[in-house]
Amino acid sequence: MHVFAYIDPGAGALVWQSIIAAFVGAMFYVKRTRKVIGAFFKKAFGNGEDEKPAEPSVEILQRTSDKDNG
Amino acid sequence: MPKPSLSFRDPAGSCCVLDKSVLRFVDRGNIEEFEGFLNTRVARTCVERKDLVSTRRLNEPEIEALFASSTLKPILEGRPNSIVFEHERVRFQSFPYEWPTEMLWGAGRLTLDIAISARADGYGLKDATPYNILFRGSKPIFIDALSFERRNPGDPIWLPMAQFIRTFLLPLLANRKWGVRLADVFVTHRDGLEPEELHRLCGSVEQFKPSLLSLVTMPTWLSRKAEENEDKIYKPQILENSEKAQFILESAFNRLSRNLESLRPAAQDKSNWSEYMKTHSYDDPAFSAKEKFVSDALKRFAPARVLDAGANTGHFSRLAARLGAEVVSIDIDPTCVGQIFAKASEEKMNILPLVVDLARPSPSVGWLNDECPSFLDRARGAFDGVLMLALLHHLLVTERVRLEQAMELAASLTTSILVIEFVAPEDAMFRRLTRGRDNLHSTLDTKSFEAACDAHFEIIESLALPGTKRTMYCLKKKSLN
Repeated sequence: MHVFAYIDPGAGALVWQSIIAAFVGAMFYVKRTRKVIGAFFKKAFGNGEDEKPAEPSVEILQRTSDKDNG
Repeated sequence: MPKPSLSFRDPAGSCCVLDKSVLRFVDRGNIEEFEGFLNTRVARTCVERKDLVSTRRLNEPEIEALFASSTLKPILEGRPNSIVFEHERVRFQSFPYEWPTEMLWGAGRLTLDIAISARADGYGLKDATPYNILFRGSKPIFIDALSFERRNPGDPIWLPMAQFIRTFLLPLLANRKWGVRLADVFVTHRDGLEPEELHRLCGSVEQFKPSLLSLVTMPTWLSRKAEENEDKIYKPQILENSEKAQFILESAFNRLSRNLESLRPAAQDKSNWSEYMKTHSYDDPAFSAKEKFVSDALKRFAPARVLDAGANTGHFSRLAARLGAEVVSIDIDPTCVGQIFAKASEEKMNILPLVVDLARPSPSVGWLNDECPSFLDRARGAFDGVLMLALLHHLLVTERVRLEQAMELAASLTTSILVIEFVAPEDAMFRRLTRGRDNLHSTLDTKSFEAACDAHFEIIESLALPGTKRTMYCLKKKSLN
């Protein structure tokens, strides 16, 4: 069974989040196209190194927690 | 054992706080999701790092043992469809209306970090409120393990974002811009501030400032539109392209992180009391004598849990913490308390600093006045050492509390030791507080003070601070029998 969030999702704030989501969603395709073109040129002229993988979640925690606790 | 109060808002389960632990009742229908989360890498890492409370499923004999308690039996019987878990208990509960902005900020940071990290394992937070966080000393810990739900990878919206804004970002913003105290927000508003409430405070040009536009002005303007299209906006928007949904979600979390970062409390300005340690009304020999007296008393009786009432910037709280005590420091000045927090976090000291006025302590708050116990309900008998340094004259003069009442309160807070500073009416600070009403305290002297102590305490030691009108007392609570 899935329990839906029971908190008040807000009204204006949710519409604002959706508007930004639509805008960022469009950016997704722009960025992806740029990435594909970039990768193409890199392959054609660069040394062909792979991009760095995304940081795992544990490292995010490590970093922020260190910051919080001085 | 008094009747434990139960949480009730989350339909997936409830929990009740006992003396040494917290019981969590999870509806059978939600067990798979709940235990699934507890087994994720992020949950295990968070528990290890003490960012999340530990959770253990109770076995049958343990549940049978709970039935033996007459207070727990009806609770268990009323939840036949629940599985019972046990959490470790954070010893001293505190609530956002008692926190300085630094602590609300720290709680917001942890909430966001956990929400972001949980995504990697397919989970998300279903609510984002400061009530999910308590503090162990100065370190925040996430206590609501049932706040996690599996996320649909195609869902680009984080529904609790508005709650995060209401309960973390807008109170921090209101504090920074208009000096609104967190107590003024959270004692009266369970769910923080609505953008509309802050929009009314904004000037006609000011509302277009970037800091206000996104958090306050746009949501206010759009709320009317939201009312017109209610059916549409609350419909889940699931995208077929989950990569795109995750991209949108990541961008939303990045935006919230930037917003939170921009509201990080700066090193605070001076307040009336934050400079007290530099400008207090005694010279160095008197202060050294006071410090030695407190230190000797703490070494002699070695209290494990100390309340420093009227802590100012926490000099004596740190002294107690260095001697191994678990300290709760209270003061009425949020700037002072913020400074204690900053220093305690920096030095990783076991000090929980709270903005509490002992003469007007936090009330019981919430549904039936039973959700968040009052400060005194939490503090009475919770300490075996209490420090009341340079505080008594504020209670007597400013608050017009009788000496006997002040001593009675002190006796209810400590189970053993009270280190208290008596300030005579001739003292400069005392006279500044009386503002010419000297005759009101004409009978107050060390003799009448010692007589008032006698009702609850025996005097172990006293010391007149040289060159001042102040006397230090180390008192031991008399046993009742």
